[in-house]
Amino acid sequence: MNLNRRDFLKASAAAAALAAATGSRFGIEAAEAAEGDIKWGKAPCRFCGTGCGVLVGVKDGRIVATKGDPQAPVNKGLNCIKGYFLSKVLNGKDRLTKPLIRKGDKMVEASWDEAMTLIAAKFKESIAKNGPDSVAIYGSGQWTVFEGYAASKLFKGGIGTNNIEPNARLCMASAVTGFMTTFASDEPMGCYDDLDLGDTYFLWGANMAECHPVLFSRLIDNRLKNPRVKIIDFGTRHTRTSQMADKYIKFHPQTDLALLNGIAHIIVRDKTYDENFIKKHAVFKKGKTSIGYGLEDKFKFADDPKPITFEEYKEFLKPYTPQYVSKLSGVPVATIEEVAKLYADKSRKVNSLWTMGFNQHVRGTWVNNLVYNVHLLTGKICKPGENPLSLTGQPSACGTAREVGTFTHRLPADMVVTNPEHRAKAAEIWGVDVKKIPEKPTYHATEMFRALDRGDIKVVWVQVTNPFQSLPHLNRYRKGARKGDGRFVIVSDIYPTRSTEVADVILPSASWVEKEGFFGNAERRGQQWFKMVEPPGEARNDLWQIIELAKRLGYGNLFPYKYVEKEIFEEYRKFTGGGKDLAPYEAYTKARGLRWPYVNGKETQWRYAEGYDPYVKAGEGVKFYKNKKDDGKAVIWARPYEPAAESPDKQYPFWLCTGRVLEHWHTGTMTGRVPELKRAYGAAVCELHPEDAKKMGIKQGGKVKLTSRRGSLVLTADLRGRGKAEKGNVFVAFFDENKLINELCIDAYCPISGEPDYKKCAVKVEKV
Amino acid sequence: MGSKSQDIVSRRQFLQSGAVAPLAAVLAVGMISIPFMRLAEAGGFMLRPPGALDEKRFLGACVKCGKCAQACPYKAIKMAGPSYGASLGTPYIIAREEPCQLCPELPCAKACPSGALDKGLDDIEKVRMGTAIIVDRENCLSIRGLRCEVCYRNCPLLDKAITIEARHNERTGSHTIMEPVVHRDKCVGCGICEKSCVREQAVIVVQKSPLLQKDSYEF
Amino acid sequence: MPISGVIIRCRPEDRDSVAADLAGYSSLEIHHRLEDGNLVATIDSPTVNEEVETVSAIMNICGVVDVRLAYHNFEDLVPEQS
Repeated sequence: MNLNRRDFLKASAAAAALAAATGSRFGIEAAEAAEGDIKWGKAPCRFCGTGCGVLVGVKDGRIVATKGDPQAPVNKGLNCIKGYFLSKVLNGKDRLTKPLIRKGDKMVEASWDEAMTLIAAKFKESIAKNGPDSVAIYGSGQWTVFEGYAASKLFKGGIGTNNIEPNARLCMASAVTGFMTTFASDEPMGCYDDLDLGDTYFLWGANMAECHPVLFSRLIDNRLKNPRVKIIDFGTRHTRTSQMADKYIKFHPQTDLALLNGIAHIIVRDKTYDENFIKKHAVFKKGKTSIGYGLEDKFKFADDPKPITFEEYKEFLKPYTPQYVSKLSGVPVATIEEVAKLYADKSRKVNSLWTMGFNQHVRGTWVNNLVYNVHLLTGKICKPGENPLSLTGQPSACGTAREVGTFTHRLPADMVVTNPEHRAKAAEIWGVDVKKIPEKPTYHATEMFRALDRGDIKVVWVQVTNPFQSLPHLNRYRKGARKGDGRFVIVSDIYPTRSTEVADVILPSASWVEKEGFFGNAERRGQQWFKMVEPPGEARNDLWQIIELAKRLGYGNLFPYKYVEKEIFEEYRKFTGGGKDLAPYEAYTKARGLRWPYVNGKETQWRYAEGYDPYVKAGEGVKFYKNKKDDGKAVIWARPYEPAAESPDKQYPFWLCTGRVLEHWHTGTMTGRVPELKRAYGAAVCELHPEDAKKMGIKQGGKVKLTSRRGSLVLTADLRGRGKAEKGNVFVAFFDENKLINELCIDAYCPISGEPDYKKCAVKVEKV
Repeated sequence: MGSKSQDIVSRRQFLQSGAVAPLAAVLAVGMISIPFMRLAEAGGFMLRPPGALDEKRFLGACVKCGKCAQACPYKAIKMAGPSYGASLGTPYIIAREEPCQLCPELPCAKACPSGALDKGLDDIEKVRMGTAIIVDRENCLSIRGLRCEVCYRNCPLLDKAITIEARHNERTGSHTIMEPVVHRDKCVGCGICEKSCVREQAVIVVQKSPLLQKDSYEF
Repeated sequence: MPISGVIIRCRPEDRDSVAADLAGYSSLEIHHRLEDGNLVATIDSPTVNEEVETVSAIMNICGVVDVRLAYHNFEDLVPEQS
């Protein structure tokens, strides 16, 4: 820094201090001008699926500041406390900067060439010996679009295996199967504008106040402006969301299925449904029942949808009387009646919002179907301010995992491997022989790690996620990874995690603005950012890592790009017409995100709605045009109540529910590196109802031991915290790497979506 | 304030641990005024353990035995060094380092042999060590519209001592400012909010409870 | 090298004696003396540590009530290595 600049800065500093001391604005301009040579770039926040825009200030190759992006429509310059500390997330003291290879019990530094040579050799060896289905990649809803696309192309089109899964299987899969079975197209019709425009909001299993902080701030603002706005929170735990809601309705875990059928029952009984809408836009179906819980290895399920009539659907609803539902759920009859009336009230713009309470559910697909049923029956869908909206937890669970289709059964843009036409289209765009792409899906996430435990999968590469902290029934999978016998685990990450612990090779990755990226948020908004700083040490982009492996396996020809990111995006875009249309890459570099379908230079706020969605013709009003086999109609499903995989009993008398807190994200590998966030919320605790605690002699701050059939954990009891457990329930956050609560969780899953239920298993609670 | 050589070390360590990781990138952006430091005893106020008599009587009654400090399971209670003059040897708490965790049994007060701490205290909600005050509104992230409210969610008397007052964010036009508001009649002054504040310097701090000024208005 | 703008709060009657004591600090420069007893100064230190030490020392000068940071620039600091 030259002397003149120092003098200038000093003058600015004095001016700023004077202004602060005297309360005047004098001197502020000078202070701002002094910062003038900081270069600001836009990026979406690295954390949840909200997709807040941030500005990153870079000077001399370093991030010197971050701030909320005032031009970003989602957050208009605001952030939550995680977003506020975004830049610190990259600068933890223990960033991984060199590849590490396991030598016995030690991880030894190696060159990239050594590491990649070893990885390629392991892949080749396993493929030669055990076939392509013995190697796998496990990625994430934090993969950029480019990374997910490259991984899918390499594994499905190159190696020739469907062994690719994202951690989104653990968080969004039921939302996906809900969308697919009801509308035959993934992703919501509505958008965040509905938070501003509606007047009635039902939250189901969503702690928006903590898990979607900026969106919650928008929702509450709507209520501040409009006294008509009502927020009703259905939950099994009293949260900060419940606290700010107009009404909190507690129900017994798993009975949301019964409640939603009960609401439909009342709507049908009182004939408050929209007959015209149903006639024009809905068909009725039923599927299999008693569908199991996926607890056994290699569990398989295929639904068998059968069309039914409205009359048959009414018959199906008959048993779900308010009295029966009340008995099951613990919700008073009057409340159920009141809620059903609100849902059907023609003068109200009704929205349903949900997250993991619905998705992490052994009947996750069903409960997603059931909430759509209510909206379809009442015609409260595909209208500004009136929609069901599935919120997401990861920055690109939608954009990458779901839309690029990095699941075992999927291909880009709603296509599936089981469909020969879809395989042909993918093979054509990828330039591979169609026979390369296997027609059968292999393993979804839980089954993938079961296969690793059994030894059916030998080599697994984990990128941008931390399964050995986040999988349910964790003990089994942590042990499985270290069983030897040819098993080889590669983990790419930016910090040491509970997953790098079990790795044979650790690759240091670039993160966020250390690379060019593209995320897609929960309202179909794609957001691009440029690389702004170099990653530390020898850390490298995950995209580079995938392509490097491809080259070493002889599939380098699949990635013939110069400007890799842009060319991948444009290639991916070839998959996306017909309602999932993306904008050219250039457009995203300029815009603060664009919501697809993007047609003729315009984004779409509301899908399937005339006047908004360019694929809906004049006069159609609403058209679920993606569901061709049902003539452009959506499906109302007869899905019954069925119990949870494991319910409390004498031996294990409590429900255990897990989840998030505002200060930390996922497994805490990033937020745990921010001292301020650690200080704000240091360790996971066990929320317990004061009366349950009293019975057991447990005091605030005392130690409790939770034990399930799968594991046990000692935690500090919290009887007065931000979340209040209902009687017979306990709650533990899962971010804490020193308190692996997932060891207790059950690896039961929704047979249709394959998504595990982290919200319900049985535990006993003991005073320590 | 006179020289307090005894405290420089801890104060410096405190500052270093907080300040060396650059004084928050955000500070560089512009015009932010922040108290450089704030200790529990700033302004002559020392945060005493729960149940302490008022300061003058407390100083008379405390026999400086250190039993309360020994009884504290969180080691939150410290004994004042030689620089504290009349307070030498008395117990105090630096909330920003380790606040009072409000153990339901109040083991510190129970351990007091002299009555300087009220043994009869049996309800943590009746503790009055001081009052938390947002001393620096401009630097409070929640008041600026960010979704922080860490102090609120950590408050052991959640929704009583601190509540959230929601108001429209005029700047964005579509978000809520969720301001944590301390209620002096409920706040016990434990300092958990001060400890948890994510700013370089806590913007919410425990201070001496302001005197209640009575009048005839009943609202 | 970090540069800070600070407000040193003093009782009005102590302002000038504090200012005199501050003259001993080479990294500190007083820019304004305000009526209400505040001093507006800049600190220009080689490292944040030294900056913090300077502030700690100022805090202990008789008559200083507190020191408030109004501006902080650390653009040319290398990131922490340890």
